[in-house]
Amino acid sequence: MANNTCPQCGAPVPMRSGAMPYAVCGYCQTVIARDGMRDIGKAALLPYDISPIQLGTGGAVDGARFTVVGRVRWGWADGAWNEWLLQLSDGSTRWLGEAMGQFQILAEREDLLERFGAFRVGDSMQVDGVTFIASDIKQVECLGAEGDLPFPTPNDWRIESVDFRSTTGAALSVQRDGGRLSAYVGRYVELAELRPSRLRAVEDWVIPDNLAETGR
Amino acid sequence: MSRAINCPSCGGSIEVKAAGYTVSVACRHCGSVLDVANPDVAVIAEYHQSVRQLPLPLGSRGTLFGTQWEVIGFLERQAGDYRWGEYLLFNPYAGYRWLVHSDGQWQFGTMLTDLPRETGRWGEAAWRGEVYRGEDEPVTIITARVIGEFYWRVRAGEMWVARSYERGGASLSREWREGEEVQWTHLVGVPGRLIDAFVRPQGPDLARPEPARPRPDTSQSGQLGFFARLWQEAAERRTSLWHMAMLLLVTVFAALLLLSALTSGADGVRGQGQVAVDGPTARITVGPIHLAAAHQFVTVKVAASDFTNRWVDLDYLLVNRATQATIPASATIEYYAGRDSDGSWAEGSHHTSTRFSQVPAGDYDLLVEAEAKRWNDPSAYNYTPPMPDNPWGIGGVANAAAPEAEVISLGFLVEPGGFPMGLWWLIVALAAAPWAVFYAYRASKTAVYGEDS
Repeated sequence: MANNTCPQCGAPVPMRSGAMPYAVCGYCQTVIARDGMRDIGKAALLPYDISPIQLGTGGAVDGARFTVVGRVRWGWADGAWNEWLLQLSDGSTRWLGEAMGQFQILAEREDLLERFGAFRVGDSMQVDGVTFIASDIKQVECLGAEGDLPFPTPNDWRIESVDFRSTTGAALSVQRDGGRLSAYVGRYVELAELRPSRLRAVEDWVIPDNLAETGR
Repeated sequence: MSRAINCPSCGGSIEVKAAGYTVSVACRHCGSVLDVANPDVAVIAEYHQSVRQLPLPLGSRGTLFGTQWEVIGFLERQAGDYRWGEYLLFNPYAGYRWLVHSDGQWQFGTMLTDLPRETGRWGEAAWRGEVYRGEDEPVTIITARVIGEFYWRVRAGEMWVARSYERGGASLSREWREGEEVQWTHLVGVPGRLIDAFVRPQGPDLARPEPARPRPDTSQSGQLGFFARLWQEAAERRTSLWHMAMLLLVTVFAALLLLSALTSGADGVRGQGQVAVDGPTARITVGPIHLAAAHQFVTVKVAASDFTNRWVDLDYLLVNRATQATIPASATIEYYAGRDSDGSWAEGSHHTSTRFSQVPAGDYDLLVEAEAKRWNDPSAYNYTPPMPDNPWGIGGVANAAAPEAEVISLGFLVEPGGFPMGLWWLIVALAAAPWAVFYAYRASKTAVYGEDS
């Protein structure tokens, strides 16, 4: 683990993923560009939540091991959710979406973007042979971030998020930031399927046997 | 670690168990629904209702399908005249499930992420290769009451349209409404003994709310009764007409209770029974009750033998002997006492009264199911922590001395209820007189001296 220090407060900023251009200082929430360790703004302080995932949680997905290296928390008028960045052992990344106690594994897909325009609820999309229906479109705000990230997460960042549902358990999420689109395709998963290790210990709760750490 | 907030409506302290997921909390002290999605907690809808004991209190924990769950929320829902309860279960590692309680049966519900599809044939839905059939038409469900916390902005009175599809012992429930995502839930039956095995939290579900503002330390206020304390609190401030009006209301309400207690019909039917504390459910039958009028109120009064820090849950069924038609109701008798920083306190009583309305003529039996529970006040000096029988495992269970079971005796009086309206209005008028006099006096003072209120 390479250590660099925060240009704002001097605290160490461990590099959990060498591939990520941005990091958030865990002490003063400064957003740091790794290139030259430049201070490029502030992220919001993450509000307390009771997620079982934390930076450093390990597991397996799509035939590779992963480590959780970063997180962005999004909020809208009626709630909030987490998107955890997974660094896989094969060099690729995934996002682990966590909303209302349910998990999705998503991979970014740049090849789909030319097919996407404006969406209305009820629109259907064919992706990889699966029919997706746009079920929810909302304006969301970045509530905070931590760890290593592929993009900067400024304090007042607002985007549009479109969720799609399917009959197969597959998931599709499209985000529009001004004129920039990004698309993420994947599926709903149970936490146990990821064979997670180093889950966060939540006070008063025992980590279930099927999620207990295997080997140290 | 959970987050603690104070209810902006009543000041009661509320623990948010699923911090970060929870959007709305219905205060368990006053019933107000609060928005906790944002750091500054706001009241969505204010209710000042007493939140009664639930068959499965919030905070209960138990294991279903290999996972431990905590009950964090409760919805009472109704379709037409039919009512049932839905409990929200939470485990930070496994998310949310539902526990549906209707007609004494329990079902375990899982929200689906792979949605069933309509097969195109009427009333059929296919899910994971199997066909479920919907026999009934869709119904409109109203959420009548909410307690606890939820991951969406729940409101008492919200409506959903629902349709149920069955296959063998399992069912799929589809709920939808305009402008919202369709919710599919898979439900399987759960034996009642698994729910009985849930560990209830120590003490009543209704913990005493912390006062919203620090009160001047009145050393005897703890020993006074509720009304005396109310009078004293009113006296501590400069009495305003508003507070007098509040007192008037309280006095009138007390008179109402007293009158109800005094107007016992001559043809009441008495019955009695006993229930063991922390023991099995006691079943008591009172009857026959003969009702002559076409429709009438029926009042059930119950008085219990003396107890402290116990509560008794009563489920009533009024059964018509001829038609077997039933009318359900429920009540709780509770009495708690202890000492805290304010001195001694006591609340509750050893009797309660429940009224059935619009009961048609006929001969009836009242079937009572009673369950008595123990509450240990952790702050009391005589607190005995719950101990397993035979903690060192010496000898066998057989020669461990069984503790003497504590029994509460219950006496029931069932009567067709009338109410003396004339006397009632007289009392209201007499109670309001001082207020009216005072109001006139205040008004004259204000006019002369320009005194601010």
